[in-house]
Amino acid sequence: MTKRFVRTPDTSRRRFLKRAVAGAGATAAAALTGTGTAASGETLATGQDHVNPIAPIGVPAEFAASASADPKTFDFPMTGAQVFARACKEEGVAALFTCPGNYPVIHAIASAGIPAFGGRHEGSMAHAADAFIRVTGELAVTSGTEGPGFTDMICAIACANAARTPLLVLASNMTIGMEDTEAGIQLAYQQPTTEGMKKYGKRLIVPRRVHEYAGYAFRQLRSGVPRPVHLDFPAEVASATFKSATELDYFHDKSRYRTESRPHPSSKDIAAALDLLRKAERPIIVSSNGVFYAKAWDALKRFAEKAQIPVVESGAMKGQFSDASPLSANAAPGALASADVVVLVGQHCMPTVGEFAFGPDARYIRIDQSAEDIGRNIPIDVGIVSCELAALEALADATPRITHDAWLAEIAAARKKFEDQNLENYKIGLSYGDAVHPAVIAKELGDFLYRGALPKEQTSVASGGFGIARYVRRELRGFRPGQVMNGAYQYGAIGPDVGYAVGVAAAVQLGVGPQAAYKGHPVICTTGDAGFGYTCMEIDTMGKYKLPVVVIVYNNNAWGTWTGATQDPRALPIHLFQENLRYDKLAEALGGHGEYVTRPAAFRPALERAYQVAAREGRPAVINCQGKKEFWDRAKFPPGSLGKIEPGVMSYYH
Amino acid sequence: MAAKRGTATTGGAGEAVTAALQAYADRGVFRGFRAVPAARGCVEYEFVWLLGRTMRATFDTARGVLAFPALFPGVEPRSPMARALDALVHTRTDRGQPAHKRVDARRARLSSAVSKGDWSLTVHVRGANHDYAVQRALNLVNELFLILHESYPEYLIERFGLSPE
Repeated sequence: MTKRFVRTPDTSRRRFLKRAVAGAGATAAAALTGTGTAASGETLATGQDHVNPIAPIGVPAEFAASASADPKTFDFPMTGAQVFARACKEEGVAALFTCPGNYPVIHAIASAGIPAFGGRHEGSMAHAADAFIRVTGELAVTSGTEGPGFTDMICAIACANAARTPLLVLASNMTIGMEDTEAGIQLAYQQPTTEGMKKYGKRLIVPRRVHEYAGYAFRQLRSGVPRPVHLDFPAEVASATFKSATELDYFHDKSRYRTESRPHPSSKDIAAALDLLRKAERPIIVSSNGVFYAKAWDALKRFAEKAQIPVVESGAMKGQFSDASPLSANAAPGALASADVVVLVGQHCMPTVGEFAFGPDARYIRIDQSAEDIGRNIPIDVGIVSCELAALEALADATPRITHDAWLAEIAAARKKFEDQNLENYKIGLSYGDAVHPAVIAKELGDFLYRGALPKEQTSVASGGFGIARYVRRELRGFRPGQVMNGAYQYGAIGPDVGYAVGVAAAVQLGVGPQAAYKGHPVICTTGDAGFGYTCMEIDTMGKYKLPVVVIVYNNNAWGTWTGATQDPRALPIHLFQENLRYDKLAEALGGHGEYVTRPAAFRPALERAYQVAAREGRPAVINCQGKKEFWDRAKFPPGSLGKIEPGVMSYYH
Repeated sequence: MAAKRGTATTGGAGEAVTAALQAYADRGVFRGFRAVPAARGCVEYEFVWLLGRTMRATFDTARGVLAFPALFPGVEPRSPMARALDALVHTRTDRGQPAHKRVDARRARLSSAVSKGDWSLTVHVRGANHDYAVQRALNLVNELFLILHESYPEYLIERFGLSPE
């Protein structure tokens, strides 16, 4: 705090309080545009008669210094943390998302040159890492301190597990030597806590095995059906010093501890699949996570086009198959029930019978890397154990050219019917002039992203929310891999969205994987007021790392669940918030740009302004769209709360 | 393993309907399939299918009527939801329908009704088109549920235990 006081004649405590409340947003905005409030005469009371200038919100100089600092190349002598960080670097780990804690490890990872993002809550940052992976296909690490930092991450680990994300979770600080004593603080038994939400986990005990266990971790992360891997590093391991490789077990290059070899399909299985497909009149391919992680989108396109088989997407990310293709059935839910042969490719999170729209006569071909999972939930007609890329290449090579003109016409008709319904919803939404209806947000966002000045494949989206998502997903499209991060997905957590947006924006900022061609562009996050409340402090994280995210908050003053409590007046308030909360002001107070939209016609201009701020200044923006909870009441405000049909644009359970 | 085959032996028509439904159980579409002879030459069927709930159907061998009684309970007559369900049934015979969806009235006739709050579907089988009628009816039932999934999720939450999340 400065010691130079500025006396102003009309300063009073009342005036200060008034300014402190009403002027917070303007203060933040002015600060980041280089016109701090001190320069404009804003002052802060420090005593009875004195005020001093309010320091502008700003990014510390240390951020620029960090960006220009040379990464370290670790070599012996190394600590255990450095040995592990070196392994991460050599494995191509693309980013670290963390909060302070587990210091030796995260410092070593950051020092090794792996881009590091520090946020406000370990859970949010673990969500960010999950999202980063889901739009890049590359590995990321999340970390927190042993006790509370680790337990803060639990929801995010569970989300990543359900989404089959190869997330590397690290945590620790405390020592094995003091285990069970309750000496100090923060001791936790980590591994039992992540039981059921990881592919592999280990508390490292023996320091000399630290590199060996890096191998265990990356073998799991880089092969088969991915899920989180959880390692915890007691201090004895992280701080151990190794003078040479001889002091470490299994200190090998990654080519010695794992393989890039993948299972390939048998010719017999491919023949069986093609036999079924040749007889099919209305086949369809469901492309899911496995296609993305195997980078099999080109093979998928070649197979689909050669055999004229429509493609519908499911899973934790979308865009592996372009919605610009006439073969895309993502927005054709009315046709899905007609499919007679369904090819499930990389569908790791399997629906049960009836959760996908396909009818009772559909036959199933399932392609998956895990033989153990094929046949689970939905009985199969042909099972193919294979890497998704290898199987799709084999199918593309072997399939004859087939036409399905009548089937494609049915898909096209269903797509038109769906789009007509969306347009009808939009017109109804516009008619509610005293608040912003979700159909208006959905349609105008779609117009802005895909039917306006922006190249339609440019903008990556973290798609979240609950009720709002039922509208927005109907308009979101994918035109290239990694374009849509499918929100909470099967775990169904409602709050990760702003954290997810940090990860998506970091991926685009760094230009990792399929985001390379869109490096630096703003990203969109859609969420509701309930979800925003969980992770909104990460607006600060976006601000300090210059992550240009436009967060669209559908603010209906309530949890989406309120309709289930309308008959219970004593319970109903559980589902409600204060009305007309100013999330836009909160964004401004955290260094972002804020827009408050209360009328349908104001949404699109606000979106354009927010996008410009994000693009021009690299600053996050929050568009607080004031709706009303009664919009979910179909009788009073049709079309009311919407449901969903999976797979396709509406899907998020599987 | 195939589901346990029902024991209904109510003549050719009943056996044909039972066999057609049993085939879905054998393929794993249904679980817990049961066919039980009932009064006046009827056969009652139970199976677990959509939303993991037990679905009931009956076949009246004398009248050739396959029915899904109370397929959707608690439906207000002439409500938007009832109208949406009825519309799907009624348009099933339209010439504009894709051939694989269209119900040929010469082979089977569809009707729906709400009685005492229960929305029911009936299929009058013409001639020996039992396989055809079962196949068309089950596909229609699947699509009826899709209408509810897309537009009336709160009904499925309240009546079928769909997760409100």
